Amino acid sequence: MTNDKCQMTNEGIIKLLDKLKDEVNLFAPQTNEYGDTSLAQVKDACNVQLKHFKPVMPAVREVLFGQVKKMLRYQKSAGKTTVATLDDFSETVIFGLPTCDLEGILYNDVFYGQREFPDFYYNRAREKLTLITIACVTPPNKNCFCASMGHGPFATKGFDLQLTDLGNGRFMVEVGSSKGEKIVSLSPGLFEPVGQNEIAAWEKIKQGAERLPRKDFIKKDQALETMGREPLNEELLKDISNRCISCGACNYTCPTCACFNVVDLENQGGVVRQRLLDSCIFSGYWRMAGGHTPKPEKIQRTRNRYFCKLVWDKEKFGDSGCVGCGRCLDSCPVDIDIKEVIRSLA
Amino acid sequence: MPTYEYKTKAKNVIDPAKNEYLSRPAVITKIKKLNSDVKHFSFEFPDQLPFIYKPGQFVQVSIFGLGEAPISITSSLEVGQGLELAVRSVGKVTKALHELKEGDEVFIRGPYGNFFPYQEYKGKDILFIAGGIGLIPLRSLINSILKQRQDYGKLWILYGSKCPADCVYIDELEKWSKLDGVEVLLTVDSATEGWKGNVGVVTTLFEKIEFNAENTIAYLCGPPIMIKFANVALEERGMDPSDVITTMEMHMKCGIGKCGHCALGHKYCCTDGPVFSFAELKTLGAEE
Ligand SMILES: Cc1cc2nc3c(=O)[nH]c(=O)nc-3n(C[C@H](O)[C@H](O)[C@H](O)COP(=O)(O)OP(=O)(O)OC[C@H]3O[C@@H](n4cnc5c(N)ncnc54)[C@H](O)[C@@H]3O)c2cc1C
Ligand code: SF4
Ligand code: SF4
Repeated sequence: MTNDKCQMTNEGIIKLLDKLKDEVNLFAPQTNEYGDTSLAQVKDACNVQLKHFKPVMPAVREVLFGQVKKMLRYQKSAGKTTVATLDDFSETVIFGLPTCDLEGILYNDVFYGQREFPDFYYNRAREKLTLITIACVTPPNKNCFCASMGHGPFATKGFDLQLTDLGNGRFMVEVGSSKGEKIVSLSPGLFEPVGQNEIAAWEKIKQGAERLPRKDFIKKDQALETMGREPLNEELLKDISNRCISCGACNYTCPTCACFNVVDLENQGGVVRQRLLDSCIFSGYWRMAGGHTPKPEKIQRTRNRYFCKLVWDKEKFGDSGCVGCGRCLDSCPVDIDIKEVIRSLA
Repeated sequence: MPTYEYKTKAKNVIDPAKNEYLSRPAVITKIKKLNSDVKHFSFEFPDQLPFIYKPGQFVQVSIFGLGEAPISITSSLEVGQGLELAVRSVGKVTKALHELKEGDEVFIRGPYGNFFPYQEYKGKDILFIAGGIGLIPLRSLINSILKQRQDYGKLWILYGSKCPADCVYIDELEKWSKLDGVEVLLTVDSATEGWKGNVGVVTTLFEKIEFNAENTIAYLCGPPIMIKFANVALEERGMDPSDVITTMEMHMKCGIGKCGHCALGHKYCCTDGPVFSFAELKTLGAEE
């Protein structure tokens, strides 16, 4: 019944979350006592917000990949060293994922999960992850441009369940996978069938969302084609790299940035090898033994970032790595906007 | 909504259930000092499982608590139960390796990366050009080619180091120089007493040999500056950039194309390299 539709009430959703929180690790948008909203583990389902929400940190970072992932444990005893895989993944559900975050996960499914060396940790976590997305039907945030990049505001695949707010205290539920199907079949009382009227209302909301003033404001396809053939606009790159303070925020908040560093840390009489996020905008990221640094100039690293995201990802994975979430601009202290780069090419 | 999919046909996909980050214990069976900061290590795997590799590949060596370092395989057994590495002491992991003794244990995973193409160059003359510890990865290739000596034409080994005391694998260079059709030429940047070889950078050795650019394959390994000058000199001599082959060294963490550190343009040094021809490197530098 993939891509089957049903509906549920707001109260039904809260009931579902209340049940899920006891069965699995449940993450959902919640506002803490300081007024910050983020994807956090659910203790009380009543605190979950049902509005569409774009977290500051993408879910692929916060939940799936983890900012720090413990990988191996080395233990020395009686002169012998043993090394063991740390495999502590448990069933997890993310509720309220925005489409741009889903896209980030779909990108990482290929980058980490496949290719010559499928990543053990990523795939273990991913197998146990269920994604309930909420389609974006509200006017976009200031820096969002997912529609221009073809990555939103609705998902057409990749979700387990996609919810759309029908505005009448009810959500349309699209079932996208067997994991989604399982959730529906385990709580039959909470999901109700849909009729022609609901479908028509949903279609109208969907069309309205797509017509919100965000589409075609950059010409992505044209830009990416130019970028593969011609060098980047040097003046713009110079300006960007002069302003950039190499803080790395753009990398850390991007749902498709995947680079990591690996460190060994002492822990309870043993050593834990763990990986953590890294940023190609740091010169130390490239530095080698003996002090040689392949990209000493900020402009070289800036160029690397835009080529990686826009050109190489397209060549390697079929589409640009930029999904248009706008987080890099949201978080940049000097307002560097990847849209400027894309626009300069189109 | 576009679909992300891997456009390159993945060659050898590992078993997805395997944790590739997990390494095997390896025991040091022999240590030899090559110069003031380089040591040669022989390893065997107590698990007795075969270890299969080709010249130009590298492994990730782990030291408990300090980290991992990518190191080129210098031996050329290709199929066996062990391997040899030569390591320069520069930082945490490499210093700790130098402090180990025979019988001590490290953890190794790999082999990773592509390898030097050489089977397809049978019948060609071969020019090896090494600078400093660049001889470490080349040694594996030299010994592999020497095992099929009759299949190749003339061999030259040009080796440059800072000073005579810095030369590595001196005894082997001497052994190679005695073989038929192998010419070994050494040079140092600054000579000390008793030095009988050439003085000057490695490119000055080019004047001493006659090679036919049409029928020669050159393998180049050394510090970036040497690579740059040697490549220019080879092009002047009429070598086609696709016949000049080198290994690249970049910062590397995972060795399996995930951590991003070793990006060379749109390629990864660890999985697409570390061996590249200059023709390839030119296309990678195009964005720079
Ligand atoms: C494909 C490949 C083959 C190599 N083969 C050999 C070899 O045969 N023999 C040999 O002696 N060396 C070789 N190296 C270099 C060797 O990997 C580095 O010297 C080693 O990683 C330094 O680790 P460390 O812990 O001792 O230094 P650290 O204490 O980690 O660091 C010292 C400096 O090295 C940089 N660095 C950290 N990790 C790496 C890394 N993985 N690669 C490069 N720089 C790094 C750091 O940024 C720092 O500036 C090779 C490197 C590559 C990429
Ligand atoms: S590059 Fe910026 S806008 Fe594009 S996906 Fe990454 S954070 Fe979002
Ligand atoms: S967030 Fe802005 S200032 Fe920070 S590294 Fe990225 S571009 Fe540079």
